[in-house]
Amino acid sequence: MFLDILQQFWTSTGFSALTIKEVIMLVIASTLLYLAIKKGYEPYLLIPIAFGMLLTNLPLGGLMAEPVKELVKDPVTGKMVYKTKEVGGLLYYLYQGTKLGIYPPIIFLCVGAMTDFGPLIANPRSLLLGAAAQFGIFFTFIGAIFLGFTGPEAASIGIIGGADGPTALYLTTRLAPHLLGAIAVAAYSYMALVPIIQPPIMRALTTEKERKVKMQQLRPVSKKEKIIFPIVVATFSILLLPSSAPLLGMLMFGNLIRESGVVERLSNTAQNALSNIITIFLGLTVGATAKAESFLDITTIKIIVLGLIAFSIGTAAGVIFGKIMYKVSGGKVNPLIGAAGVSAVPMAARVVQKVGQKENPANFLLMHAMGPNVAGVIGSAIAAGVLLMFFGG
Amino acid sequence: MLGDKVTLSQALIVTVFSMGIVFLALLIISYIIDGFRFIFYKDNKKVDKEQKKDIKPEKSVPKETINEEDDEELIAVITAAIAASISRPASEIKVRNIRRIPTKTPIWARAGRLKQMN
Repeated sequence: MFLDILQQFWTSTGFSALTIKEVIMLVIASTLLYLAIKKGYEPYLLIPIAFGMLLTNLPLGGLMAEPVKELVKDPVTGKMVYKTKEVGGLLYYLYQGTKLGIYPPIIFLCVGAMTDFGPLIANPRSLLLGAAAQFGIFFTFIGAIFLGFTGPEAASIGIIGGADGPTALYLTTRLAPHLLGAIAVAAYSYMALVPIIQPPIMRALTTEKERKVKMQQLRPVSKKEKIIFPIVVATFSILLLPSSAPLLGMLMFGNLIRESGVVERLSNTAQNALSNIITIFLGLTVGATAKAESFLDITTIKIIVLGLIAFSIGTAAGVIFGKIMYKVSGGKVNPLIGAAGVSAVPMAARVVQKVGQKENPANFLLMHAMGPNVAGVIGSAIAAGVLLMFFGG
Repeated sequence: MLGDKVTLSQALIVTVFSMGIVFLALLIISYIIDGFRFIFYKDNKKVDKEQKKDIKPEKSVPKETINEEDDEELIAVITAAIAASISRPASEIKVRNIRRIPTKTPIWARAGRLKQMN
C-alpha cells in the first residue's frame, strides 16, 4: 500500500518524466542565464528567454500546453458545442502575443520612443550604410536555401543578419514559427557578441589611414524636422511596402510621440513601463518555444552557424560600403561607421566609437555611427517587409 | 508570392530585387531628408528676417499700446524682465502680445508645489 503510494507519487513528479534531451536543454538554459547574469550579455533579453527555456523543458509543468476542447452535446439545447476540457498553460496564452505578431511591433514602438533620429537627419547619406548592411540577410538567405531550408525558413534565418531582435522575431512568427526558439537564441546571442564579432572584421577591411579619418561635426537638427521625419518616413515606406506597416508604423509612431514633445507621459510609458512589460512577455514566451524535441536538432546548429555568417557579412558589407563612401566623399567619411549599419542599437555604434578612438584618440565617431545604426533598423524592417511580401503567402 | 520550395535562381532573384528595394527606399528617404534641410534653412532665414523686422519698429515706436488697463502692472513687470534678460533699456522694447503658455503640470501637482512653497 505505502509502496504503491510512493510509486504513484514518483510517477507524478517531473523527475520521473525527465528525458536526457530535456536535461541538456536545462543545461543550455542555465548556461545562457550564467552568460546573461555573470557576463552581462544582453541580460534584459537573455534572462527572460533562458528562463522561458528552463520552464518549458521541465516536464509535466504544462506551461506551454494548448487548451484541449471536446465536442459535447449541450444538455439544454441539444446542439453539439465545444467545451474546454483543459484550459492550457500560462505561457501558451502569453505566447499568443508573440505568435500573432503583436509584441514585436509594440517593442518597435518602444524602440521608436527611445531613438533619436537626429544624427540620421543631419547626415541622410548614412541611410545607405544601413541599406548596405542588409546584404548579410540575403547572402544568408541564399546560403540557407542551398542547405535545403524552405523559402520561408531561409528568409527567417537570413533576417538574423539584420541584427534586429523584434524584426527577426516578427518575421519568424509569420514565416517559420517552428524555428522561433533557435532563431531568437541565435539573434540575441550575436547581438550580445557585437563587441567581439565586429572589431576584427572592421580592422581586416580597413587601412589604418581610413580608420583615423576624423569626421566633421553634424549640423544641428530642428525640432520641426524631427517631428516631420517619422510622419513622412512612415507614409512613404508603408505606401511603398505595405507589408512593412506593422514594424515601421509602430517604430515611427513611437518616435513621433517622443519628438512631438506634447505627450510626455505616453513617451515615458513607451520608453520604460511598456517596453519592460513587453520584454518580459516576449522573452519568456520566445524562450518557451525552445522545447527539447524541436531545439536539439541539427537544424538549430545550422541556424546558429548561418546566423553568425549573416551577422559577419552584414558588418563587412557595411564597412565596404563605408569605404566606397570614403572614396566618393574624398576622404571625409570614416568607413568604420558602416559597421553600425547592422542594427544592434546602440551597441554597434559604440563598437565603432571604440575601434575609431583606439586609432585616433581625438576621434568621436559615436554620433556619426548612430546614423547608420538607426538606418539599419529602418533597413531591416524594410527587408523584412520585402521578404514577407515574397513568402507571406 | 513564392512557395516553400525555392530554387537557387529564384533565391538570387529575390535577393537582387529585395536589396534593390531596400536601397531604393532608403535612397528616396535620404533625398526626402535633404528636402527637410532645404525647408529648414529657408525657415531659419525667414526667422532671421522676421526678427530684424521686429527690432526696427521697436526702436522707432517705443510706446506701449495695450488696451487692457488692469494688466498694466503685469505688462510692466514682464517688460522689465525681458529688458533685464536681454540687457537693453526697457524703452527700446515694445510688448505687443502676452500669451499664457498652457501648463502641462496637473492641477494637483501644482497645488502640491504651491503648498510646499508657502
